[in-house]
Amino acid sequence: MASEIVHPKTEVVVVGAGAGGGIVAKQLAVRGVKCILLERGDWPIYDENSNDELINQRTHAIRAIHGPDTRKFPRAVSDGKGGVKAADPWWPDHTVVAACVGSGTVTYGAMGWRFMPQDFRLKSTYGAIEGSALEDWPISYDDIEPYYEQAEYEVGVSGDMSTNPYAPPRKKPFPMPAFEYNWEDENIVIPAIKRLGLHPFPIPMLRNSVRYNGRAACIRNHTCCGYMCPCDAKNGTQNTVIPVALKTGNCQLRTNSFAYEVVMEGRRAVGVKYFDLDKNSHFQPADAVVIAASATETARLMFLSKSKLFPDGLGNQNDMLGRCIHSHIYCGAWGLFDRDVERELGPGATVAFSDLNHIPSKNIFAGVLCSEFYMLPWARSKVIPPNTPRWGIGHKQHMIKNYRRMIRIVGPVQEIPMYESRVGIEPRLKDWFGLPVYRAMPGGKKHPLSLEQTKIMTETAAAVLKEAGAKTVCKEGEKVYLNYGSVGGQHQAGSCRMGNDPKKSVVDPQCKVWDTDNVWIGDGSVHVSNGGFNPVLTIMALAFRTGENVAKSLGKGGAA
Amino acid sequence: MRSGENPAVKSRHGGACGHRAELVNSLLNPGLKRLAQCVRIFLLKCRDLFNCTNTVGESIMTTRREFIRNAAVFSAGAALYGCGNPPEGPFSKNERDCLIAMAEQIIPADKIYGGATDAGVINYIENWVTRYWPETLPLYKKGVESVQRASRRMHSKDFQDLDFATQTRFMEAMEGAKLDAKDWSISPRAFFDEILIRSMQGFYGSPRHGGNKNFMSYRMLGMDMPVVTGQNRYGGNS
Repeated sequence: MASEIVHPKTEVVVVGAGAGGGIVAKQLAVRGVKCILLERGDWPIYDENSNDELINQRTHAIRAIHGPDTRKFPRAVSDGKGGVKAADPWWPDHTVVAACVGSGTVTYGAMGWRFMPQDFRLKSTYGAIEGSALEDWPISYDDIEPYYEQAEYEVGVSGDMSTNPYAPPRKKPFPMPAFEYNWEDENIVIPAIKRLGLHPFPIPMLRNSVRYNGRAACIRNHTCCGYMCPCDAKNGTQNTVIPVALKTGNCQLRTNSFAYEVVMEGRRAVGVKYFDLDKNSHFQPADAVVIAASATETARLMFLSKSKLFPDGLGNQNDMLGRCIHSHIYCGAWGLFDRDVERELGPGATVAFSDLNHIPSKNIFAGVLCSEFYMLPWARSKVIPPNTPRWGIGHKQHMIKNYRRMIRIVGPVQEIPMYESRVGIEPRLKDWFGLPVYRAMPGGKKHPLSLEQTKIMTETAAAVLKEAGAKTVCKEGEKVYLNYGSVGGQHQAGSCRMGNDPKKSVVDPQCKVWDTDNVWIGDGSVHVSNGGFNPVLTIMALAFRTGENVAKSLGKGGAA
Repeated sequence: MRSGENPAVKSRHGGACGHRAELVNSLLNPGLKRLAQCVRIFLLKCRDLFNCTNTVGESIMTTRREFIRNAAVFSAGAALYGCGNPPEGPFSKNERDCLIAMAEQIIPADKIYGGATDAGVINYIENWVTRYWPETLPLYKKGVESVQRASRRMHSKDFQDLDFATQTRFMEAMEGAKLDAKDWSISPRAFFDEILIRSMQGFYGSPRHGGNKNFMSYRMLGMDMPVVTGQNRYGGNS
């Protein structure tokens, strides 16, 4: 390794150009704060995209198109003999979050949910839950509401909550009208949902239903969730806030820059060290540091940042760093009909109902159920209804006959955070740069109540499909997740939780790391609980808020 | 290819697919198109002749850009193979034939639609163990060795030489782990699952990886692919 390259000082270094970091950088740049945005990956390029079911961000059967390269950056798992080994890259627990500018927001399904007010108050709504690390958020829905609005307008959400009686309160309407329902949702699923007394409404999407922000409206492509958009109608940070930040001239984006240490002097961070692609080490001095590298990688970077005041890792002075990582249990059901029901209009996932999100009287806090995104043939070949062979001519005939006869209803279950579920680092296994890799610490498990909620969701999804006229319904649910401990997945959250008590949290309610003067966290790591919804809009809203807080701390808190 | 040419397929699903293919083809200079077809057929023949796992010959010749790219590969390939020595694959002929037969069991051909062999699933498996995840090659070597050992002991024949129904029963026993353990250096169930997932990926996944020749399974399902709107290009990188 050559000697370290030292850069001229800047005001703020932001680590990670994903949903959180891109927004923090924009908030700083438009307020006149000089900042450097570090991204381990590169700009995503459409021509690298391929409509390829085996190489994309959702199934990654061969690999994930936008990285990270799982061979260079393995995850450690137990080898069953007391040692560790690299996890298989197709291991479902691999917690891959895309390594490119925009990260997951380039390829996500783009559901733009606000959490409900109760999601911030789970403990006080449902009471303490034994054996869990459940807490209320230190901030309320009202605190975050203006930032939800800002995210909806600046990134761009299409939606209409007028038929959702449980919709969280909002001051302004959505900036774009909702997407229309797909044929099968409108004609088969919705009538069934209504007959069961539930309340269907269009899913809010971070995707243009009409021309918005200078980019085109959606063309209903099949390969949407897991893929880049062919007409750039999907709104991520790479095509919204990051270009805004760069245009001010105050923000510099450095791609292929892998941060590996936040350099501390006492309570103050003085800069960030990172590697470039040639493994040269760089030091970027700064007045403040914002980490937004995803729940697993943010915690890993903090474990790697040891100093005199933080010998066990930055923010780990109370043994809380990396704890309570959680995500969502995904569950639902497939319905098999006796006639063709799917009209193949992409991307699917047009209808949802929020009836199961919060029923305090029945102790139900499960989650939202939605229709599913369009699935390509290989993923579909893995769905085996009862009495259908897994292989052979019977399976092939099933595929030919039933490819258009299946509807899936699925959703994320609110998971109860567990103290034992923890991100750790594994010194026995090194990545390409020679750094200890991420390991889900042993002992992590699901709370039985999370699995109970899963069952409620599965049963409801199955009931809707039965009511819709499905001849066969196959439930998928809690069994799959029984053996998983500290899952991350793309909804990973909670590893640096926010709180009022420094003993029980990693960051304060402003998202600044406890006992530091100038280290902030700008991603989903700070979530106290992860709602019964896809979490990206909440990550974005918090990042808008944190970006403002950082600017204020530097004396540049004025409106943009 | 068989499925694409079958009149029954055309009448049922031909609409959108056929229309798009025509649209794209009509954009091409007819002379260039004919030349491209010749090159493609020659490439496929080269592949068969030399047992070559190169996936370039698999792609549909639809655009000028792709034609130029393949023409370049073709000349390079012709120079490379000119000496007449077939390139070394990861598997011996016996191993390869065994894997082809096993994949065909997972997705057999029927009267209308081709199966794993027609779709070139073996090319996908060869790519898997050489380009994508070479770490898995020992699993395949041990797996095939065990299959042959068990097959020879039970039926005095290699797996690929058994009749179809016997092969099916063998696979069922593998799946149910009901085979004599002494023949197996790895778990029969694990190897069965490996063949199952790779065959399904090779048959139903994108043709870019060597299987699903000419979008065979997409045509079988009547899928409206590929999408020709927006920034989509034929091919992309590989």
